[in-house]
Amino acid sequence: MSRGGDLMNPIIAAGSTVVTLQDVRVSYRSRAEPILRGVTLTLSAGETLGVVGESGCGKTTLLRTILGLIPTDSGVVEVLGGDPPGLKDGSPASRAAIQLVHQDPFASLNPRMTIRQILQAPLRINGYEHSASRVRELLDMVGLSHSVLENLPAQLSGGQRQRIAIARALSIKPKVLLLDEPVSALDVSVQAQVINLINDLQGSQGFSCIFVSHDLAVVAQVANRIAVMYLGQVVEIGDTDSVLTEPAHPYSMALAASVPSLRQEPRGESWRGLAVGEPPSEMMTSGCTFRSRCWVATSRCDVETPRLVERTSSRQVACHHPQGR
Amino acid sequence: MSSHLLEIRNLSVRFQSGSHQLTAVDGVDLTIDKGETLGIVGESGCGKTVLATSLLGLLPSSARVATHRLQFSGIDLSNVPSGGWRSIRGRRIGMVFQDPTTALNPLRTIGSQLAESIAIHDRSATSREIRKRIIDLLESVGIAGASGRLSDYPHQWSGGMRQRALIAMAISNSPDLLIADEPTTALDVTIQAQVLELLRSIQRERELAMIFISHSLGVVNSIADRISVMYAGRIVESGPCSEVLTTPSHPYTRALIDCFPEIGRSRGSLVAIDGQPPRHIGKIDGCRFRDRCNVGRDRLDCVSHDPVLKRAAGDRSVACHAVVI
Repeated sequence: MSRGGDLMNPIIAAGSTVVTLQDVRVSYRSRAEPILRGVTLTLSAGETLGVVGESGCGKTTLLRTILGLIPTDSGVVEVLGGDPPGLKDGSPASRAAIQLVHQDPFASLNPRMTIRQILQAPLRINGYEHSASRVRELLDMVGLSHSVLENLPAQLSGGQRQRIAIARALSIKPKVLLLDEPVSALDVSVQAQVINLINDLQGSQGFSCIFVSHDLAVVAQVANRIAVMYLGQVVEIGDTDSVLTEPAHPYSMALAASVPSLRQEPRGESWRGLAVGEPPSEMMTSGCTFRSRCWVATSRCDVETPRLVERTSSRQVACHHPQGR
Repeated sequence: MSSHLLEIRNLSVRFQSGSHQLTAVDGVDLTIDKGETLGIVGESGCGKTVLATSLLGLLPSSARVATHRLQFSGIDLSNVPSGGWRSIRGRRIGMVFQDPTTALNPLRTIGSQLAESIAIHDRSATSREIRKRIIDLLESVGIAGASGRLSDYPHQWSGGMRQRALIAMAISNSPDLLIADEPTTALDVTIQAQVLELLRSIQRERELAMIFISHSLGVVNSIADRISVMYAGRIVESGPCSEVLTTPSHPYTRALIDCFPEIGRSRGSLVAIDGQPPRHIGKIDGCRFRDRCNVGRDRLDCVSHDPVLKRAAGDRSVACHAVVI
């Protein structure tokens, strides 16, 4: 295939922005408090942005917002230079340009369709060639044997199913791939297979990627940049290495210190256990939302909400008392 | 007479399913002493949970248990008379399961469920004594203001708090042995760190023996004195945790370490283990890991003979033809 662009696949220059969120707020009718409370971030062409945070911090809602599946209260969401594709409006081409891989490969594949049917459906719907040979190419791409073609999802293992879900998402050549905890349901050995597959495919196909996970160590294996979320806000964002080795926000430090390690020396003893308690059940209306678990919080944190500000050229932090240099 | 608190020799558990016989645990030997934590690690389906449930008399009736010796503190667990389990399970052996949501009855208060676990084993306790014990227990597992929360229902507590309540329940009758089966897998990483810290401190204070089951080498590393690595129903390597993780002998242990995502590992440096563990262990010739092994795949003895667990220096043992002891 030529690398030149056509109408369906316009070339996106490396480094240009493919997804922009500006102070985005989102709430669900069933909850009094908003779930996203002013999220600002960008995704550049060809990069992988990792998003980490605990359950309920709004990671999945962020992805749904980018897909246009839920309306925003306020703020700007721009995907590939336009509105998010959405369900009702938005052309098929704009929807095809952004694809999602779900966490649970047991729920995301139709149990009554064969693997061939599952992989052919998006090709047919979007007007691509959907011959058997094209489907076999997709299986090759994700390292599966052609013998699974006539199998049902139930006959495959979790790792194999997740490969099918990735092949399905990539079959129509999206510009942006969203991955929602894609390896959380898998065993460690299989987890590494899928992580390596995602890295390889990104290298060969050049899509941009948002990889959401609660596990900082997993995110570190795929992401160029990491955004740390806490209760609906990005509290720190920056290059993977710098966020991991010198976390500035206390919450990032606590997350990094909580990740189980194989090292033998007591690691980060001074950090360990510092994230006391659990996220508050009732949202705080003013001040820093992390202050109830923070060990450097002061009276300023009670009243003044920290904003995401540039700390170094490659890092932004929302904290009145950032740690480290 | 052995001095071990728990001694298992050649334990096998098989399930009859139609005309098939499935082997879940195949000739496992292990011992555990007072005040010691044994970590059991392995992928899904390797027999970890079946091994634990066989010690609690909770296997389904289709299970067939065969063993040379299954001795716990002078009691033969392979031959407990009907009704005899009540004086062992929940009293001498406590247990904590993976999912704190399904382990509690959603229709009964936390207080009444804890009271039941005490009253069943201590008929003479008055309700006032029981109430005081419950409050002490809950405070010892880090539930602040426990006296005001006894009439809460499980849904009013977070996952981390529920797991703390279940740990309180497990230690309510001062057991000698605590079996924890993936107790932190359903929890967020910061809460996981807190619960691990709690289990460590309880284990030390009470000099409990603990069997800690997990699929994560990192989690086991943070809590266990000794580790046993299971693969396809067998223990393939055992020894002091720090030694096994720094100088692994068995190719499977080494492979698990190589695919473990850890902060500080450079991006894309995970080495995946090809393939998957055998799903159904019937009659196996040769080593059950050989299809995925990069050391002994083509060795004759790996194809013809199933390696047995052999003693090595320094309280270590390994089941591999390719390892020179």
